[in-house]
Amino acid sequence: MPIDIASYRAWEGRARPAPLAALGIAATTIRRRLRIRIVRIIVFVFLVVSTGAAALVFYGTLTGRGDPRVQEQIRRFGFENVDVLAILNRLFDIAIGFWAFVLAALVGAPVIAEDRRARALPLYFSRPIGHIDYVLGKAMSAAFFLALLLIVPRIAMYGMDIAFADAKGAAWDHMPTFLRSCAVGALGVALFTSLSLGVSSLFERPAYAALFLLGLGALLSVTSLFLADVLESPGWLALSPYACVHRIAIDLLPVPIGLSDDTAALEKLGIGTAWTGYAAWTALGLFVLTLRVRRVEVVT
Amino acid sequence: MTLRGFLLLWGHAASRALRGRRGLALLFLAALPVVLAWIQVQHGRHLSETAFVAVTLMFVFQFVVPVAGLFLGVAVLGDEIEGRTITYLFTRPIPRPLVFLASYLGAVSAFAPLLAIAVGAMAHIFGTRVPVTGRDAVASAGIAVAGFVVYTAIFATLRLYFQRALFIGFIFGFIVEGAISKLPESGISSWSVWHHLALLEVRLFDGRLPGQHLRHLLQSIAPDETVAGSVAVLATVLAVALVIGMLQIRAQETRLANAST
Amino acid sequence: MIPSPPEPPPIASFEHAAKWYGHVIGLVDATVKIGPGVTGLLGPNGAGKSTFLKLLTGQLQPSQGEVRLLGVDPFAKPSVHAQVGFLPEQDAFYEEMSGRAFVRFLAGLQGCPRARADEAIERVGLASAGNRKIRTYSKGMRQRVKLAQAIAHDPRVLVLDEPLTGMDPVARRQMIDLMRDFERRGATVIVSSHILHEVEAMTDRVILLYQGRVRAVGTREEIRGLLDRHPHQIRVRSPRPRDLARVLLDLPGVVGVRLDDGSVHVDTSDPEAVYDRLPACVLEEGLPVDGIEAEDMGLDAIFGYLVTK
Repeated sequence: MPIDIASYRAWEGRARPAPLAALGIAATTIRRRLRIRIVRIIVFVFLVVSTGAAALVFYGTLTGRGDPRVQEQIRRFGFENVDVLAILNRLFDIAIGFWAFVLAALVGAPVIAEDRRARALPLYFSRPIGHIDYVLGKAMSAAFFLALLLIVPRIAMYGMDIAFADAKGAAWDHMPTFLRSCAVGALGVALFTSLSLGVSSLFERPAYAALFLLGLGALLSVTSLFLADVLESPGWLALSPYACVHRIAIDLLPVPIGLSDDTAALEKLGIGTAWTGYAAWTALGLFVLTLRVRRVEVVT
Repeated sequence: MTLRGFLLLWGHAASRALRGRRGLALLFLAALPVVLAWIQVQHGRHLSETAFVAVTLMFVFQFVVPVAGLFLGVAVLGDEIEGRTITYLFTRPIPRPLVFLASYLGAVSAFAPLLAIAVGAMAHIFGTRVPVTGRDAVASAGIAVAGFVVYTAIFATLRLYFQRALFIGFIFGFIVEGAISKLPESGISSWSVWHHLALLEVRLFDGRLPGQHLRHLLQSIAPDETVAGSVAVLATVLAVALVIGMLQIRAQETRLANAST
Repeated sequence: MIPSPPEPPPIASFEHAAKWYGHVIGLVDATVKIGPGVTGLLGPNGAGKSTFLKLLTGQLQPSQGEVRLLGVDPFAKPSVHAQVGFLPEQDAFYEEMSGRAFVRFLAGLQGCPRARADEAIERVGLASAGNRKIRTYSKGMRQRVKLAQAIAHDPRVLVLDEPLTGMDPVARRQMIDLMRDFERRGATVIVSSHILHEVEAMTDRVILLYQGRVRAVGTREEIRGLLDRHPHQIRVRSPRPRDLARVLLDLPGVVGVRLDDGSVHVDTSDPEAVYDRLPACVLEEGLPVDGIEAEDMGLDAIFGYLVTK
């Protein structure tokens, strides 16, 4: 037997099918993100602040039932309707309004840009991994972090709601609201994942992708308010992805959310326009992402 | 030789500042207040006398100036460090502080004229409906450029200390500065760059702004604060930021050089 | 008695120079003097070659000790770079520039007119591609343009970090000729490589670096002699190792054999002879052989030998 053949040992394993390849990419990306100290700190702060603070207020509502002094203290926090749903939705308002953009900029915007910068894409695509696996893997990694902010606290709150509920059957009774609340969170996850990855695919420098996303969020919020005010046409509010999700949340959830001024202004935006705006922003992110990733082999 | 090298570096930095997608983004940024002014003048149903000042304070000083300063500031030597082309510049017979200064001036001189033109155009558009003079336009453009110059120096120096300066700069420019400027009665608000830009703009229109308008924006400005004081603060911040940056780049090499053996 | 003339000061010198990156050691206690001519810096990856050259060109400041280039501290006195040309290892460029614009810009920073930059572009064989953007260049062309920016101002000291990487044989030959030309004109060329025969082809004097330390300094012949005394190890796998060992011991250059679970480890001072004669021997004796592999041909192994010697 020739020596070169004798020394060659064929690999006898089996390649993973596509969905697992995407999972592998997602897991690796999550691990890499978590190696960055500022990401770890912010994710930890998000979880502690959003879940912990909400839990404290929730605990106050339980102990304060019937005690006007505790009720007064809670009102000082800005919670007029002292119930779990109000807290949940206030949480949503705080989370999605600003921190979702910040988190998306930290964990979503850099993921494709850093691969492009490191010329790592040929390494992915020289394996039996399709563009869809790659995009799916990156999307799952961004969605994982965003879900920590937008969905996990809701699950925690629901757990506390059931644990401390006076009435039997509260788990079932509150289930529809909980599911609607989670649906709003999932809409936020989908929107910010799509936008952040779309932006990420446009840049080679992760930092620029992050800044662009943050700048875009700030710009669209301010500009949409300005135009809606100057032109006296609330439809312009749909220019802001945040306003669209917020308006949909108002429609989906049966309790007031956010500050009353914001809610009143947003209610002028038609729900149809809000859904259209939401769909347009999500689709735009996906469109840009698909277009850029398909061109990746040419670019690199 | 050093002066020629300095000028070459200046030109090199200026040409790179507005290149590619970053150039497009900065053009868009400069055009934004002009477009918004045009929309407001052409299609707005109610145009207040303070419309020019409001757009200048809210869009130009609070958004365009810090974003452009951040975008270009972190790129002053950040691009060279990330692209590892800094090696070429540091192996030339030019002192490192001058490399930093020339790159900073290049970035600033690339965008400052655009910013000034944008504010001038905005003033011209508003001038057709509300009282805005040529002097107002020139002075407002000057204030915007001053703010941009200061922010760029701060962010350029931050980049020498932090690899993630863009994120830290965003937090500083939009969250810290925003929070500080919203603390009117504590005196802390005067610690923000925006406060001094707003003060200069408001003093420019002294006596011409109706009292009720922009109340929430102007309440942080104390009556005894002067234009000279704000100019001095901005000049000091600029000088301190640049000196720190120049000292930092001279002393610390390991942050900049590729740490491979 | 006529006093002997004083020894000229070295072009570059390291006096107990050390560099640490936090807890990582880049270079330890390096003391060498480099004079005119071509000096090769040889060592495996991670040996400290780039740190050595970065200290020499003032990109890094020594954590300890002293580095001098043309009599001054290169970190504190950037003016020394007027007489130094540096070709960095990393593949970093202003990609949007043309090769010509790149060299003109960097030569301009040295105070050179454009004509000198154009001459350098021609000298490295990029005249026809000079106006193309660097991002369209092949790896070899990128090396050439880096070389052009390093030589445009006709430096007294030329420092080249892994200059032959990515170059085809013709370009390698031209690069080596260019170094020789600099040497003939009295310049100092310091060139690093992790490939032994590359350094042999380029230099007269060699500095051996391993694990951040200067292990040996000497002429090409001295270093080659040092390395030739190192017995190479070859592993031959066979189901009949004892019979094979007996045959192998008769081959020229073989100084010892060792048996190990279906393998024979051969120590030889002439590995080529073993590779040449082994097939014929095993055929004649009818011995089955499953595989042959060189166990320690890498520079790491050679340097390991030098360290333990």
